[in-house]
Amino acid sequence: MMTRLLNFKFLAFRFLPSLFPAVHRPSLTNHRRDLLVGKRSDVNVKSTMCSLALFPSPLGDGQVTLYESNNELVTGSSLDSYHKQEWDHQSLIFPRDALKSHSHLESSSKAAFLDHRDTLWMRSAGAWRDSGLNGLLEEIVNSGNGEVPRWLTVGASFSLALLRWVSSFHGSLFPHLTLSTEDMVAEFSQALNWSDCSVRSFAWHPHTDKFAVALLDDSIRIYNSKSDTAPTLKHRLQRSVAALQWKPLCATALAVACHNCLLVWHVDPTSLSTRPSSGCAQVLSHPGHSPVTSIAWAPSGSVLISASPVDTSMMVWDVAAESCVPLQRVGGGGVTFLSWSPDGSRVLAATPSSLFRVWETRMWTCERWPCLKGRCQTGCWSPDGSRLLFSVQGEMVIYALTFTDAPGDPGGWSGGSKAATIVADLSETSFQTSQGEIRIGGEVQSLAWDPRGERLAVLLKGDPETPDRPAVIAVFKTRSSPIFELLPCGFVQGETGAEPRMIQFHPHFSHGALLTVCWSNGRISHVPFYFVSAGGPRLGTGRSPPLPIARSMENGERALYSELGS
Amino acid sequence: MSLPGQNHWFIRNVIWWRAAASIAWSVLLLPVTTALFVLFSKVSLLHPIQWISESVSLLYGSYVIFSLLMLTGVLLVVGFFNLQYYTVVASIPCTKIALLGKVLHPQQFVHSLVHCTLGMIVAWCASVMIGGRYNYLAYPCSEDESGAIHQMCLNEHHLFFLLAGAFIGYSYSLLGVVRNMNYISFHTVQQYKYLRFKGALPLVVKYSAVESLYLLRNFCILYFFLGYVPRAWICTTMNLHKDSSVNALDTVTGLLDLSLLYHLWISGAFLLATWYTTMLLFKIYISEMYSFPVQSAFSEEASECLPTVISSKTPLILKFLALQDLSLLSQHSPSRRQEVFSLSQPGGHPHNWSAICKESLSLIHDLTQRLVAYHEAVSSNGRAKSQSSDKEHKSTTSESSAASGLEELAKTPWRLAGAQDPFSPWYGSVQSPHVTRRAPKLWSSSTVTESPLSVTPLASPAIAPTPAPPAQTPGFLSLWLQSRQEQVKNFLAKRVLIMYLFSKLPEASSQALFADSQAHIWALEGLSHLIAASYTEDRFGVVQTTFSSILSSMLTLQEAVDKHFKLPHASSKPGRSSFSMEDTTYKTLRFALRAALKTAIYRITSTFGQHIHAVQMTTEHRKRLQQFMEYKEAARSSLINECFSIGNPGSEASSGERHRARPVTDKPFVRSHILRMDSTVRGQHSWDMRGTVKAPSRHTMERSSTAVKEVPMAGPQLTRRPSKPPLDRTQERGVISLKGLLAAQRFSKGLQERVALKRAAQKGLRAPTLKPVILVKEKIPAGSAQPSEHFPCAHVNLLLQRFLSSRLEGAIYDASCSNQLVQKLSEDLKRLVRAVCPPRYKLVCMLTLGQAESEGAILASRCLWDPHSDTFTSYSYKSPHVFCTAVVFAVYCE
Repeated sequence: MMTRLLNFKFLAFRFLPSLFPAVHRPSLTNHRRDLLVGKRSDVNVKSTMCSLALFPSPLGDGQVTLYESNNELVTGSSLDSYHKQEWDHQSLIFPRDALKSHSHLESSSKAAFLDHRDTLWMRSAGAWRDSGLNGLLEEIVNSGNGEVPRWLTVGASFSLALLRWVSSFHGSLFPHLTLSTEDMVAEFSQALNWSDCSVRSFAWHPHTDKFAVALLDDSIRIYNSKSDTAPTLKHRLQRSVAALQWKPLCATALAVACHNCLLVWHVDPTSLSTRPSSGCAQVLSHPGHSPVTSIAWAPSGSVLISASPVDTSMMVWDVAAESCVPLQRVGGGGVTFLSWSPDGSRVLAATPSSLFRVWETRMWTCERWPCLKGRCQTGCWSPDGSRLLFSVQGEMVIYALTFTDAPGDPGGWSGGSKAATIVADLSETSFQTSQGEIRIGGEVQSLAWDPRGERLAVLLKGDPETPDRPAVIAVFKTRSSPIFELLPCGFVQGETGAEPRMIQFHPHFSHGALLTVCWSNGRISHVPFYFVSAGGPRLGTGRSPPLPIARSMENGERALYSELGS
Repeated sequence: MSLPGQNHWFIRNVIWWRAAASIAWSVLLLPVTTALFVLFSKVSLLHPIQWISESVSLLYGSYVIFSLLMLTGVLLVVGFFNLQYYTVVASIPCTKIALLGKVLHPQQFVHSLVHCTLGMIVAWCASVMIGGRYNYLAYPCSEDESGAIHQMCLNEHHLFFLLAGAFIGYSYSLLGVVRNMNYISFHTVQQYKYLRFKGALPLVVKYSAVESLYLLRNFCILYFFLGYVPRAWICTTMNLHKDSSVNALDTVTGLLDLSLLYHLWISGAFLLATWYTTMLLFKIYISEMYSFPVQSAFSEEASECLPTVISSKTPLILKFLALQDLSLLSQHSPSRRQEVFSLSQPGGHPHNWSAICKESLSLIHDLTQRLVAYHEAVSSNGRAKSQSSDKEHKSTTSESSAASGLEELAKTPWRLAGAQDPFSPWYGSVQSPHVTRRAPKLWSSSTVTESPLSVTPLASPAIAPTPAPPAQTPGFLSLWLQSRQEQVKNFLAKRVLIMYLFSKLPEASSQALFADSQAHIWALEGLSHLIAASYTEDRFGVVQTTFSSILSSMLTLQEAVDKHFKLPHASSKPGRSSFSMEDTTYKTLRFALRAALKTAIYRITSTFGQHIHAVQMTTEHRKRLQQFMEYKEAARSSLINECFSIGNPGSEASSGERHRARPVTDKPFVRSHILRMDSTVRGQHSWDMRGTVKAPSRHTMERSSTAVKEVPMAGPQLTRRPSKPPLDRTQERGVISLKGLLAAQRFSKGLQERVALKRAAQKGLRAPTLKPVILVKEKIPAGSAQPSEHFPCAHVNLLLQRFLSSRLEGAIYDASCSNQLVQKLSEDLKRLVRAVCPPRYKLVCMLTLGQAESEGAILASRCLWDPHSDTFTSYSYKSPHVFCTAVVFAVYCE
């Protein structure tokens, strides 16, 4: 009974991937494909697949997507050109030049200066601080003659060689471990081109109209629609912020995934202080658990989970007690991305290898889902937690997984479908615009599903090398009955020269969905999608009723709302 | 400690089986551990094959088999003691003397004695298994060179082993009680037992190895000094002789026997590992969730159903497991929730719900009562003390604090600063009507504000709504008695030992108050989830009848908890150690309770939304609830955390540094910045501030508990003596108090906020700006220059942008004329910037122009300057053909 091994699925199928070669371009005729090497599913539901070719053509330069109304995206010449929206959050801009990053190590600038000899001890201390044991050994090996005894130099060079050999061996198993921590965060962050973003992370508060923005200079600002004060959070340990999330069912707590720890800020919403002291932050750290690239609060607000690509275990934090329970699964070599389903029953955990796991949160057991092509880059859950959309690196498609049985029953298995289905094809498609041909498509950087389950925003990576393949946001309409399908809605475009970097939906926009986009020029803009929910106000499956839509927005003007009688 | 002697069905049917299973597993694991032990004890790296074969052959030997039997017996006894002594509510001693009492308790004495003996048995087994020179207690030896007379000599190694085993066994028991090892905590995360065990096993091994090392050190020291006593005793009782040819072990040379120490360490680690594994398995088994039926069709099983079980008092473990089950079912299991909301078949009463709700409410109510009582005790302390003679006040600060520590153990340390004497001239002067109007509740909530700094006696304890009767002048005899009493107390207080024993451990009383809060947390979680679920699932409206009482009791508790967290020590966190077997969850239960309570209220308000206004409630509660509805509920205690962090010299000087883009340090420092251009990618450049991230990051990991310790040290600079009269000598004793600091901090924070409010009001109806209000000027060291007008970095940056892009638009790199171009540009730039530059700034303009090919370039610069007045700005322009970077340094010159 104790040895209830969970990965029998893994045992059965781990050798099979080689039998089913990966198909790079899914052919359009074959709409279903087994992502997973499980049973070839014999589901006869005909699922339709959406592709980019069905999308309306993108607009030329100088046109900015303003909002969606009457099922059409409305554009204008500039972001300020319309005042009709009921959502009056001004778009913010954080110019790249105004922020000075602190994140570069001294070592990177060392070569630019004249050689300056410190004493060996100072250099060693510096090397130890900058790059750990490796740096220290290197410093000793490279030290001039006479500074250190010979045996120390020889010993250091031997141990350095040994270390390198071991790490190269380890690195050949898990290539991501050879990256520097900065690069690792950039690689696994949900933001596109993270290291060059002036806005590094963004998070809406789940219940009120406020959001937190992590900036390039490692500070976090909190903007509230109801007050003018925008507190700035700074902490000595708050470096290279990879993710932010507000605690659900709480007014104050904001979790920050930092370079080598987790910070939980308690920001008093009534305080007028613009600079909360570092005493307001709880520091949660665990040896070996850095850099933290992803965090997720339980929707019930009880626990926080954090993941690091270096650590094979993900941590379940009891924040109040500052204690953690590591959940270790060695396969995959780390955890890069976490996403908690809105009903709180499952957690998606992606690894740097071509494998991801879906945990059920009652007994914390997991299912392994090996992918064929690459690692799982991102994923998002439907509002009722029954469907998971995800994308895999190296493939230009969106997959869907459904989970049918309720995991609440004792002994319940977080089961569901045996294989993932492709729901959207995002391969390159060329459009003719006034500026000439534009090719759109590529791998997915991040996915966002609005809390009503009606719109799906997809951030496509594009290709930085070629100017005619920019990163874009494609928005789909989603429908779950009678069958789940994605319908094209359009592309969201920003100002000229601005690339989207991050997307997130407002958690309780009353008139539809509100997409917040962070652009490469440092602008944060909000794109509302006005629509009436198809199924009316939808209630969850009963496990935890969804949070009611915000009351505070009721007094907005109703003009647009009534137009949408279609 | 629960006694299994109670013939409760749950103990009989569940707990015993669980205990038996855990002991069985630990016995099953024993051969593996023993094999490992044998392997390690025989280790010889030079002859690996011989080593392995020897160990394997030994494993089949009769010694090992016999030892295994012995060890099994030992484990059974250890397991039995685990079962006897476990507890789900940690007992927290509030003073050193209470801890001493706990250690010397007869029950604990039995525990220690038995474990001492068991340790000796394990050590004997270990010595037999290792064999060699440790095997027997006595061996034949010859007195003289001829070897003619044979007699028995004492094998001191064997004795050393046995004593070490006894010592480790005793330490296990002692440390167990000091560290509350018998406390069973329940995890927030449910996992299967196997996975939990697997996760915790490395920790057990590591912990026992390290612990064994420490115990070995202690034992060696002990033996070095006192080792001759048992040796002589054994020699005389068993008529053994001492072998003079062998070094005695209580000498330095005798103890420096590395192989002996290694074997001893291995044996100690083996002993601790087996025992801790047994304990770990026991805890895992006991704390496993148990699913109680919500209702049963058979009446004889009714006593085993959740509603009955949850209200039972007797086996505490049963109540805890029932509450855990309640919280889990409310979260995860719709079908069982349905049973909770169901009505009884004949009669249609919601028995299930009302039983569960009643019990949860009574738990919440209990805690509220306890908190209020504690708060009252704390606040009435000042009054109680004021009855005592004023002689005490003439003594020095330390004496009086110790004396009062003696006087009432339940007192809390901050009472001193606020304690007033009714007989002092102070007393009359402060009885302004404004103060006396205050209700006791308000009074207690303002304890923190009070300080030697704020002279207005907002919260003098002497002023209660029912003023203490100072008119009852005590008789001469009683006065005399009182003074004698005080003298005795003062006398005792001067004795260091007594002070040490009776002084309160910080935050222990707060921990003790919340020791069983796990039950309350589950009750809150269960109730809130059930209520949230009732929004959609409760078909009969069962919950509605109790809704308002649940909400109001939660809000009352919230108020009490809020108030409690305003007390000092209540919000200081214990230091966290990631590597320890010790379960410290009981120390942080109050934080968990606070978080769970808030989340519970939020869950209810966010589920019901506006409907909640229909619930009947008092206005005060409605006001409180409104805060929750608007998500405006503030973390009150973060204030105190803030204070601590400021008091802590190690932490970030947060008040000094305000909203500045550039770093603030005390000395001029070397700063460099790098402008890195990479033509292959888009123009990315990034800044590096040298010296800003210098400090080792570990420092900020310090918890506020360390900060608390440091506050008194930092006190003298921070406390000012109030200048205003009336101040007699009695006032002087409380000068350096934590409370004073807190109050000062709070006052200053209040000031900040008020100023900010004023500023906001002044701004009036202007459009919301995103510019933050700068409240506190940064601290500038005395030697630094203070320019009247700072260099306008942002403006100059804008100028740079325009200048470069206008001048270099469409420019094509040409090596021949770029020299002149750069010179011209820099001259122009300097002139341009000079126009906007405030006086006394020297400017350095540096331009770098280059051809944009696919190479990268690093531009870096370093300056030695004053970071408070000097600054720089830079911009780099890029076109397909050229790149140009302009840096303008502005150096203030006095």
